[in-house]
Amino acid sequence: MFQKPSASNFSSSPSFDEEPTRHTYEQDSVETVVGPSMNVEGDFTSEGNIIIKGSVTGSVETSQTVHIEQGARINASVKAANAVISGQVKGNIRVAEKLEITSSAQILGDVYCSSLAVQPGALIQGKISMDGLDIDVPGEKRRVGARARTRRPVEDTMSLEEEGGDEDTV
Amino acid sequence: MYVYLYDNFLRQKKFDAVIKAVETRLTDYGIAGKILRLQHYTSAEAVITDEIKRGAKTVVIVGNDATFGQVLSHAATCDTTFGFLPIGPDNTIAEVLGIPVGVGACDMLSRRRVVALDIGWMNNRYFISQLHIPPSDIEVQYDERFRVSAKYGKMELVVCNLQPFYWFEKKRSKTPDLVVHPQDGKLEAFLRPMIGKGIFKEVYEDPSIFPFEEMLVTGSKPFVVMADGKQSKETKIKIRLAKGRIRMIVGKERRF
Repeated sequence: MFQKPSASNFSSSPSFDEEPTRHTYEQDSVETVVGPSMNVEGDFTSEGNIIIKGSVTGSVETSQTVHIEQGARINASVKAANAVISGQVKGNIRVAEKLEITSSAQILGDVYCSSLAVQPGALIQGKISMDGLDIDVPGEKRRVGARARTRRPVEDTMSLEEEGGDEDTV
Repeated sequence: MYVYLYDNFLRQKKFDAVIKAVETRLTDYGIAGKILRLQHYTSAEAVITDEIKRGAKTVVIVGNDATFGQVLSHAATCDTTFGFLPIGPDNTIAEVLGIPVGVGACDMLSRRRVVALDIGWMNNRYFISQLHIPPSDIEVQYDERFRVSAKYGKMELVVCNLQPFYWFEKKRSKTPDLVVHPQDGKLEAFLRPMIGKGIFKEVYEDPSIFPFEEMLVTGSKPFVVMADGKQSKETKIKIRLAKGRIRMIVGKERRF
C-alpha cells in the first residue's frame, strides 16, 4: 500500500526468530493501520487485518489477524481470528485460532485461544484457557462442546450395554 | 449516440496531432459523435442533462484527471454511461481504470466494458478522485462507532477513491516521499498526524489507514477541504461512500 523510496519494513513470511519490534506481515493484506501517535476510542471493528501501533480504548474486533506492535497500548478487549501481540494489552483476549505473544508483550487479562505461542520474556497476568484438554479438572464439570472426549473402545461399550441390559431384566 | 466533452486545454496546438488521430480511430470504430468543448464556466451537469434529453447514451470525457473530476463531481447524478479518453499529462486515474493514454483509449471505448464505480459523497457534493484536508485540528469519527484523534493535535487527512495521493516532503522535489494507492471498492482515509516541529518544517508520522463507509470530520476551527480540485472551508463534513453511483467504461487492465 505504501511505496517508500527507502527499503520497506515489510516482508512476506512471519517468523518467530526475528526481533519483536520488526514483526512481519504481508503487505497486501494490511487494511487498517493505527499509527503510533493515534488514539482510537470506541468499538474498533474491522473486516480485514489490523495493525495497532498507537493506543486503543474500548474494544478491538476483527475477523482476521490483529497485530499489536511494541509500544502500542490497548485498554480494550481483543477479539480476532489470529493475533500477534508485542505491546501492552489491558483486557481480555479471545482468539479463535493462533495467538502469538512476543517477548515485549505485557498482558493483563484473561486469554482464550486454540493455539498459543509465547516467547521468553513475555509478561502475562490472567487466566489462560484453551480448547482440547484431555485431563479431568477435579471439582469441575467438563464443558459441553469442548474438544476433549474420552473414547471408550467399542468392545467395552458393548459389554457395558449388555450388563446394563441384564440389570434391567433383573 | 456518443457525446464527447473536450477540455479547454486541448485547444493547444501540441495536442492537435493526438486529437486528430483519436478522432480518426473513433470514426473507424463507428463511435464518433457530437463534440462539445468545456469552458471555465460551463456547467457539466446542465450540458450532460441536455444531451441525454437529445438521446445521448454515452458521454465521453476527453482530457486529464482534472477534467474527469470536474465533470463527474457535477454529473454523477446523470443517468448515463460515462467513458474517458485520457490525453496529455496528469493522467493517474486512467491507469486505475485500465485505460491507456492517447489513441489506445479508443480501443477500450469500443469494447464497452461497463462497470459501476463507487464514488465519494461529501456534505452536498460528490467527489471522484480524492479529498484532501491539509494539516488542521480535526477529529474523525468512523461509521458512528469509534473516534480517532492525534496525540499532538494537527492531522492531515486524505480520502482516496480513484486517484493515488503523493506526499512530497520538499516542495520542489520531483520524486514523492510517500505514495498512497487507493484499494478498490472502498473509501480509504489516510491520516497523517503531526508529531513535532523541526527547524524549517513540521514533522509528520507515516499515515494511518482506515477503510470506511461513513466518516464525520469535525474541527473546532474552520478547516480547508479540497475535493477534486475544488476548495472550501468547513467545520464539519460527512463523507460517505456512494456505491455503484456511476456507470463507466473501463479497460481490462483496471485495478479493481
